[in-house]
Amino acid sequence: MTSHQILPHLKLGKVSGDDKKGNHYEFVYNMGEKSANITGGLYGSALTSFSFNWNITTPDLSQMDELVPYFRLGINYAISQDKYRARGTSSEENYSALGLILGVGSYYYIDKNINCYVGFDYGYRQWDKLSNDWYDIESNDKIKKLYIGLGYEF
Amino acid sequence: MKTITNTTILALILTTYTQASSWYIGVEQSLMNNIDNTTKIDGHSYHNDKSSNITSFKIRKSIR
Repeated sequence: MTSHQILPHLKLGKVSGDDKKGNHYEFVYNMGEKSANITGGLYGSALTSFSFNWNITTPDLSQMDELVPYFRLGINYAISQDKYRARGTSSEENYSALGLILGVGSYYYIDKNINCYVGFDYGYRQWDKLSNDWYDIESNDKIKKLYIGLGYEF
Repeated sequence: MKTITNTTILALILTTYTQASSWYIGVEQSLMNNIDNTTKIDGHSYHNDKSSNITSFKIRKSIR
């Protein structure tokens, strides 16, 4: 099943080294993400989703001082906000998924502390393995994302 | 699995603190965000319209 979601993301991060060209480490909260997993009626239900990214900058690849390309390596964690009753018990459970992110992009520094950027991510995440009394259920997402962003360093 | 995950996240946070110098905040907007889900039930893969037939399955976490 393919799902298209246009999402805003908020991030907080740190830059390594003494200048803007250092690697960026960031925590990203993905707002409003909804599940594409069909298991148990999860499709379309709200997720709490966040990522931790390591943006490895490669300023040597750019001729312009303001342009700083990067490669992204990250992990994503998502958990369903809806709970599901476990079969034969009174307990309720959440689904969760864990995955990897690979990406490329580039910062463009408008000012010393302000940058805009564009990039592309490819992600893969695996949902919890589930079973009912008859079947084993496995589910995964393959995610392709094109994004733009704005950052302020302080 | 969860122990490995927690350890990995903790290691990344510690790496951030020890190697980083300045903070930043930002907002990011996806222009395209395509999620392709594959669900296997008892070894059979489900895509597209077939998925609508199985959304009422009751499930529980595997205990193994």
